[in-house]
Amino acid sequence: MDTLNIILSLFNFALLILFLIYWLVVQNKVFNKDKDIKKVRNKVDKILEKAYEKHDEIIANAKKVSKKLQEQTDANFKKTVTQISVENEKYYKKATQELSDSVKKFTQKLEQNGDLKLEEYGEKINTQMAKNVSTVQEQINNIIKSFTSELEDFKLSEKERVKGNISERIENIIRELLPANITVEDHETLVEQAIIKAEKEGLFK
Amino acid sequence: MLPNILTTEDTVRIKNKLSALNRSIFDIGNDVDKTLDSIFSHEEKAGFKDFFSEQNLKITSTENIKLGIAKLLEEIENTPTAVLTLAYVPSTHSVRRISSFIAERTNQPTILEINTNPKILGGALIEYQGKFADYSLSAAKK
Repeated sequence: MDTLNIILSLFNFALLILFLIYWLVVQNKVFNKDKDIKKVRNKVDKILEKAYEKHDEIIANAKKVSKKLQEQTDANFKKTVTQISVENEKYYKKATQELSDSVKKFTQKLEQNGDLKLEEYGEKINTQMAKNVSTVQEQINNIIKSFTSELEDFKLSEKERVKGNISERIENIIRELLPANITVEDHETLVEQAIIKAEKEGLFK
Repeated sequence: MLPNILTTEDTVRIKNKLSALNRSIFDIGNDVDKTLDSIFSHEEKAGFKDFFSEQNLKITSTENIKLGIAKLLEEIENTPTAVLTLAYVPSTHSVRRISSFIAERTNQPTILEINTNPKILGGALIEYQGKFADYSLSAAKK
Protein backbone atom coordinates (compact mmCIF):
# COMPACT_ATOMS: atom_id res chain seq x y z
CA MET A 1 0.00 0.00 0.00
CA ASP A 2 2.80 2.39 1.00
CA THR A 3 4.61 1.57 -2.18
CA LEU A 4 1.47 2.30 -4.19
CA ASN A 5 1.10 5.65 -2.39
CA ILE A 6 4.71 6.48 -3.11
CA ILE A 7 4.26 5.56 -6.79
CA LEU A 8 1.10 7.69 -6.98
CA SER A 9 2.83 10.64 -5.29
CA LEU A 10 5.77 10.29 -7.68
CA PHE A 11 3.35 10.14 -10.62
CA ASN A 12 1.57 13.30 -9.39
CA PHE A 13 4.92 14.98 -8.85
CA ALA A 14 5.97 14.01 -12.40
CA LEU A 15 2.70 15.40 -13.74
CA LEU A 16 3.29 18.63 -11.84
CA ILE A 17 6.81 18.88 -13.25
CA LEU A 18 5.49 18.24 -16.79
CA PHE A 19 2.86 20.91 -16.35
CA LEU A 20 5.48 23.34 -15.06
CA ILE A 21 7.71 22.60 -18.05
CA TYR A 22 4.76 23.13 -20.42
CA TRP A 23 3.86 26.41 -18.67
CA LEU A 24 7.45 27.61 -18.89
CA VAL A 25 7.61 26.77 -22.61
CA VAL A 26 4.35 28.64 -23.31
CA GLN A 27 5.48 31.62 -21.23
CA ASN A 28 8.82 31.59 -22.97
CA LYS A 29 7.11 31.66 -26.38
CA VAL A 30 4.88 34.57 -25.34
CA PHE A 31 7.85 36.30 -23.77
CA ASN A 32 9.97 35.84 -26.90
CA LYS A 33 7.17 37.14 -29.15
CA ASP A 34 6.79 40.18 -26.88
CA LYS A 35 10.54 40.61 -26.93
CA ASP A 36 10.54 40.54 -30.77
CA ILE A 37 7.82 43.18 -30.95
CA LYS A 38 9.60 45.31 -28.32
CA LYS A 39 12.86 44.97 -30.25
CA VAL A 40 11.28 46.15 -33.50
CA ARG A 41 9.40 48.95 -31.75
CA ASN A 42 12.63 50.10 -30.06
CA LYS A 43 14.39 50.03 -33.39
CA VAL A 44 11.63 52.01 -35.05
CA ASP A 45 11.47 54.45 -32.13
CA LYS A 46 15.21 55.07 -32.38
CA ILE A 47 14.96 55.68 -36.13
CA LEU A 48 12.02 58.01 -35.66
CA GLU A 49 13.93 59.79 -32.88
CA LYS A 50 16.83 60.33 -35.29
CA ALA A 51 14.46 61.55 -37.96
CA TYR A 52 12.80 63.94 -35.53
CA GLU A 53 16.18 65.32 -34.47
CA LYS A 54 16.84 66.06 -38.15
CA HIS A 55 13.33 67.43 -38.37
CA ASP A 56 13.94 69.86 -35.46
CA GLU A 57 17.19 70.94 -37.07
CA ILE A 58 15.49 71.60 -40.40
CA ILE A 59 12.60 73.39 -38.70
CA ALA A 60 15.01 75.62 -36.73
CA ASN A 61 16.90 76.51 -39.90
CA ALA A 62 13.71 76.98 -41.86
CA LYS A 63 12.34 79.25 -39.12
CA LYS A 64 15.44 81.44 -39.27
CA VAL A 65 15.28 81.66 -43.06
CA SER A 66 11.52 82.16 -42.99
CA LYS A 67 11.84 84.98 -40.40
CA LYS A 68 14.44 86.76 -42.51
CA LEU A 69 12.33 86.26 -45.62
CA GLN A 70 9.27 87.52 -43.81
CA GLU A 71 11.09 90.62 -42.54
CA GLN A 72 12.48 91.36 -45.97
CA THR A 73 9.15 90.78 -47.67
CA ASP A 74 7.29 92.88 -45.10
CA ALA A 75 9.79 95.72 -45.44
CA ASN A 76 9.65 95.60 -49.24
CA PHE A 77 5.90 95.35 -49.17
CA LYS A 78 5.53 98.36 -46.83
CA LYS A 79 7.98 100.34 -48.96
CA THR A 80 6.10 99.55 -52.18
CA VAL A 81 2.68 100.28 -50.69
CA THR A 82 3.94 103.57 -49.19
CA GLN A 83 5.47 104.54 -52.53
CA ILE A 84 2.23 103.77 -54.34
CA SER A 85 0.20 105.69 -51.76
CA VAL A 86 2.48 108.70 -51.96
CA GLU A 87 2.44 108.63 -55.77
CA ASN A 88 -1.29 108.17 -55.74
CA GLU A 89 -1.78 111.06 -53.35
CA LYS A 90 0.47 113.26 -55.45
CA TYR A 91 -1.38 112.32 -58.62
CA TYR A 92 -4.73 112.89 -56.96
CA LYS A 93 -3.78 116.33 -55.64
CA LYS A 94 -2.27 117.32 -58.96
CA ALA A 95 -5.28 116.13 -60.97
CA THR A 96 -7.73 117.82 -58.61
CA GLN A 97 -5.76 121.01 -58.63
CA GLU A 98 -5.48 121.08 -62.43
CA LEU A 99 -9.15 120.37 -62.87
CA SER A 100 -10.16 122.87 -60.25
CA ASP A 101 -7.94 125.53 -61.86
CA SER A 102 -9.25 124.92 -65.36
CA VAL A 103 -12.86 124.92 -64.20
CA LYS A 104 -12.23 128.09 -62.17
CA LYS A 105 -10.74 129.75 -65.19
CA PHE A 106 -13.62 128.60 -67.33
CA THR A 107 -16.22 129.85 -64.77
CA GLN A 108 -14.46 133.16 -64.39
CA LYS A 109 -14.54 133.54 -68.13
CA LEU A 110 -18.25 132.74 -68.13
CA GLU A 111 -18.91 135.17 -65.25
CA GLN A 112 -17.13 137.86 -67.17
CA ASN A 113 -19.33 137.13 -70.14
CA GLY A 114 -22.41 137.20 -67.91
CA ASP A 115 -23.84 134.13 -69.53
CA LEU A 116 -25.67 132.33 -66.73
CA LYS A 117 -26.64 129.35 -68.80
CA LEU A 118 -23.05 128.74 -69.64
CA GLU A 119 -22.22 129.24 -65.95
CA GLU A 120 -24.62 126.42 -65.06
CA TYR A 121 -23.05 124.32 -67.73
CA GLY A 122 -19.62 125.02 -66.24
CA GLU A 123 -20.90 123.94 -62.85
CA LYS A 124 -22.01 120.65 -64.35
CA ILE A 125 -18.59 120.15 -65.92
CA ASN A 126 -17.04 120.86 -62.53
CA THR A 127 -19.18 118.18 -60.84
CA GLN A 128 -18.52 115.67 -63.61
CA MET A 129 -14.78 116.27 -63.42
CA ALA A 130 -14.82 115.77 -59.65
CA LYS A 131 -16.64 112.50 -60.20
CA ASN A 132 -14.02 111.43 -62.73
CA VAL A 133 -11.28 112.19 -60.26
CA SER A 134 -12.97 110.12 -57.60
CA THR A 135 -13.37 107.22 -60.09
CA VAL A 136 -9.67 107.37 -60.85
CA GLN A 137 -8.97 107.46 -57.12
CA GLU A 138 -11.18 104.40 -56.60
CA GLN A 139 -9.49 102.52 -59.42
CA ILE A 140 -6.07 103.18 -57.95
CA ASN A 141 -7.31 102.02 -54.56
CA ASN A 142 -8.64 98.83 -56.12
CA ILE A 143 -5.30 98.21 -57.78
CA ILE A 144 -3.58 98.63 -54.41
CA LYS A 145 -6.11 96.30 -52.76
CA SER A 146 -5.69 93.56 -55.37
CA PHE A 147 -1.93 93.99 -55.21
CA THR A 148 -2.08 93.56 -51.42
CA SER A 149 -4.29 90.48 -51.59
CA GLU A 150 -2.13 88.94 -54.34
CA LEU A 151 0.92 89.51 -52.22
CA GLU A 152 -0.80 87.96 -49.18
CA ASP A 153 -1.80 84.94 -51.30
CA PHE A 154 1.74 84.65 -52.55
CA LYS A 155 3.08 84.80 -48.99
CA LEU A 156 0.60 82.10 -47.89
CA SER A 157 1.40 79.78 -50.79
CA GLU A 158 5.13 80.31 -50.17
CA LYS A 159 4.65 79.34 -46.52
CA GLU A 160 2.69 76.21 -47.56
CA ARG A 161 5.36 75.34 -50.09
CA VAL A 162 8.13 75.67 -47.50
CA LYS A 163 6.05 73.59 -45.02
CA GLY A 164 5.40 70.94 -47.71
CA ASN A 165 9.08 70.82 -48.57
CA ILE A 166 10.02 70.30 -44.93
CA SER A 167 7.50 67.42 -44.49
CA GLU A 168 8.74 65.85 -47.70
CA ARG A 169 12.34 66.11 -46.57
CA ILE A 170 11.52 64.51 -43.20
CA GLU A 171 9.69 61.65 -44.92
CA ASN A 172 12.66 61.20 -47.24
CA ILE A 173 15.02 61.02 -44.25
CA ILE A 174 12.82 58.41 -42.56
CA ARG A 175 12.50 56.49 -45.83
CA GLU A 176 16.29 56.52 -46.20
CA LEU A 177 16.84 55.44 -42.60
CA LEU A 178 14.13 52.77 -42.35
CA PRO A 179 15.04 50.30 -45.13
CA ALA A 180 18.64 50.22 -43.96
CA ASN A 181 17.59 49.38 -40.43
CA ILE A 182 14.37 47.39 -40.79
CA THR A 183 14.52 43.84 -42.07
CA VAL A 184 11.76 41.91 -43.85
CA GLU A 185 11.18 40.06 -40.54
CA ASP A 186 10.72 43.39 -38.78
CA HIS A 187 8.20 44.39 -41.46
CA GLU A 188 6.35 41.10 -40.97
CA THR A 189 6.21 41.69 -37.21
CA LEU A 190 4.84 45.20 -37.78
CA VAL A 191 2.19 43.85 -40.18
CA GLU A 192 1.20 41.14 -37.67
CA GLN A 193 0.99 43.80 -35.00
CA ALA A 194 -1.28 45.83 -37.31
CA ILE A 195 -3.54 42.80 -37.89
CA ILE A 196 -3.75 42.10 -34.14
CA LYS A 197 -4.70 45.73 -33.55
CA ALA A 198 -7.30 45.55 -36.32
CA GLU A 199 -8.81 42.46 -34.68
CA LYS A 200 -8.91 44.18 -31.27
CA GLU A 201 -10.68 47.17 -32.83
CA GLY A 202 -13.28 44.89 -34.42
CA LEU A 203 -12.28 45.38 -38.03
CA PHE A 204 -12.78 41.71 -38.85
CA LYS A 205 -16.24 41.41 -37.26
CA MET B 1 -11.26 25.76 -51.42
CA LEU B 2 -8.04 25.20 -53.34
CA PRO B 3 -5.19 25.57 -50.86
CA ASN B 4 -3.11 27.89 -53.03
CA ILE B 5 -5.59 30.70 -53.56
CA LEU B 6 -4.19 33.36 -51.27
CA THR B 7 -4.29 36.53 -53.29
CA THR B 8 -6.44 38.18 -55.94
CA GLU B 9 -3.71 37.31 -58.49
CA ASP B 10 -4.16 33.64 -57.54
CA THR B 11 -7.92 33.87 -58.13
CA VAL B 12 -7.34 35.25 -61.63
CA ARG B 13 -4.84 32.47 -62.35
CA ILE B 14 -7.13 29.71 -61.05
CA LYS B 15 -10.17 31.14 -62.83
CA ASN B 16 -8.22 31.08 -66.10
CA LYS B 17 -7.24 27.46 -65.46
CA LEU B 18 -10.82 26.52 -64.63
CA SER B 19 -12.07 28.02 -67.90
CA ALA B 20 -9.32 26.10 -69.72
CA LEU B 21 -10.61 22.94 -68.06
CA ASN B 22 -14.17 23.89 -68.99
CA ARG B 23 -13.14 24.27 -72.62
CA SER B 24 -11.44 20.88 -72.76
CA ILE B 25 -14.17 19.09 -70.78
CA PHE B 26 -15.53 17.14 -73.75
CA ASP B 27 -12.05 15.94 -74.79
CA ILE B 28 -11.22 14.53 -71.35
CA GLY B 29 -12.53 11.03 -72.09
CA ASN B 30 -11.16 8.47 -69.67
CA ASP B 31 -7.90 10.23 -68.95
CA VAL B 32 -8.97 12.88 -66.44
CA ASP B 33 -5.61 12.89 -64.66
CA LYS B 34 -3.73 13.63 -67.86
CA THR B 35 -5.98 16.64 -68.58
CA LEU B 36 -5.69 17.91 -65.00
CA ASP B 37 -1.90 17.52 -65.17
CA SER B 38 -1.77 19.59 -68.35
CA ILE B 39 -3.67 22.45 -66.71
CA PHE B 40 -2.88 22.47 -62.99
CA SER B 41 0.31 22.26 -60.98
CA HIS B 42 0.77 19.22 -58.74
CA GLU B 43 -0.40 21.16 -55.67
CA GLU B 44 -3.36 22.73 -57.50
CA LYS B 45 -4.44 19.34 -58.83
CA ALA B 46 -4.40 17.87 -55.31
CA GLY B 47 -6.48 20.80 -54.06
CA PHE B 48 -8.89 20.40 -56.97
CA LYS B 49 -9.38 16.70 -56.18
CA ASP B 50 -9.83 17.45 -52.45
CA PHE B 51 -12.52 19.97 -53.32
CA PHE B 52 -14.39 17.37 -55.38
CA SER B 53 -14.27 14.82 -52.57
CA GLU B 54 -15.44 17.47 -50.04
CA GLN B 55 -18.41 18.10 -52.34
CA ASN B 56 -19.01 14.35 -52.76
CA LEU B 57 -18.46 14.63 -56.51
CA LYS B 58 -16.62 11.96 -58.47
CA ILE B 59 -14.31 13.23 -61.21
CA THR B 60 -15.54 10.68 -63.67
CA SER B 61 -18.30 12.34 -65.65
CA THR B 62 -18.23 15.59 -67.57
CA GLU B 63 -21.43 16.67 -65.72
CA ASN B 64 -19.72 16.29 -62.35
CA ILE B 65 -16.66 18.18 -63.50
CA LYS B 66 -18.84 21.00 -64.84
CA LEU B 67 -20.78 21.11 -61.57
CA GLY B 68 -17.56 21.07 -59.52
CA ILE B 69 -16.07 23.93 -61.55
CA ALA B 70 -19.26 25.98 -61.08
CA LYS B 71 -19.23 25.34 -57.31
CA LEU B 72 -15.56 26.20 -57.06
CA LEU B 73 -16.06 29.44 -58.99
CA GLU B 74 -18.98 30.30 -56.72
CA GLU B 75 -16.86 29.63 -53.65
CA ILE B 76 -14.07 31.86 -54.96
CA GLU B 77 -16.61 34.63 -55.66
CA ASN B 78 -18.04 34.36 -52.14
CA THR B 79 -14.71 34.39 -50.34
CA PRO B 80 -14.16 37.76 -48.65
CA THR B 81 -11.19 39.89 -49.65
CA ALA B 82 -8.94 41.84 -47.32
CA VAL B 83 -7.11 44.73 -48.98
CA LEU B 84 -3.71 45.33 -47.42
CA THR B 85 -1.30 48.14 -48.22
CA LEU B 86 2.22 47.32 -47.06
CA ALA B 87 5.50 49.23 -47.11
CA TYR B 88 7.41 46.29 -48.60
CA VAL B 89 6.89 43.67 -51.30
CA PRO B 90 6.14 40.46 -49.38
CA SER B 91 7.67 37.14 -50.39
CA THR B 92 5.44 34.11 -51.06
CA HIS B 93 6.33 32.87 -47.58
CA SER B 94 5.37 36.23 -46.12
CA VAL B 95 2.03 36.21 -48.01
CA ARG B 96 1.26 32.73 -46.65
CA ARG B 97 2.06 33.91 -43.13
CA ILE B 98 -0.13 37.01 -43.44
CA SER B 99 -2.93 34.98 -45.05
CA SER B 100 -3.10 32.42 -42.24
CA PHE B 101 -2.75 35.18 -39.64
CA ILE B 102 -5.78 36.95 -41.10
CA ALA B 103 -7.79 33.75 -41.65
CA GLU B 104 -7.32 32.93 -37.94
CA ARG B 105 -8.94 36.25 -37.11
CA THR B 106 -11.73 36.26 -39.66
CA ASN B 107 -12.48 32.57 -38.94
CA GLN B 108 -12.77 31.89 -42.68
CA PRO B 109 -10.53 31.74 -45.74
CA THR B 110 -9.79 35.27 -46.89
CA ILE B 111 -8.29 36.36 -50.19
CA LEU B 112 -5.64 39.06 -49.93
CA GLU B 113 -5.33 42.02 -52.24
CA ILE B 114 -1.85 43.33 -51.54
CA ASN B 115 -0.73 46.79 -52.59
CA THR B 116 2.62 48.31 -51.77
CA ASN B 117 3.35 51.89 -50.85
CA PRO B 118 6.79 52.59 -49.30
CA LYS B 119 5.48 55.96 -48.08
CA ILE B 120 3.58 54.24 -45.25
CA LEU B 121 7.05 53.21 -43.91
CA GLY B 122 5.83 50.09 -42.08
CA GLY B 123 2.78 48.35 -40.64
CA ALA B 124 -0.34 48.16 -42.80
CA LEU B 125 -3.46 49.84 -44.08
CA ILE B 126 -6.29 47.30 -43.83
CA GLU B 127 -9.64 47.28 -45.59
CA TYR B 128 -12.11 44.51 -44.85
CA GLN B 129 -15.78 44.32 -45.81
CA GLY B 130 -16.26 48.07 -46.08
CA LYS B 131 -14.21 48.91 -42.98
CA PHE B 132 -10.87 50.64 -43.21
CA ALA B 133 -8.11 51.41 -40.70
CA ASP B 134 -4.63 52.83 -40.95
CA TYR B 135 -2.07 51.00 -38.80
CA SER B 136 0.96 52.29 -40.65
CA LEU B 137 4.08 53.81 -39.13
CA SER B 138 3.53 57.00 -41.09
CA ALA B 139 0.12 57.40 -39.41
CA ALA B 140 1.64 56.56 -36.01
CA LYS B 141 4.32 59.26 -36.35
CA LYS B 142 1.67 61.89 -37.10
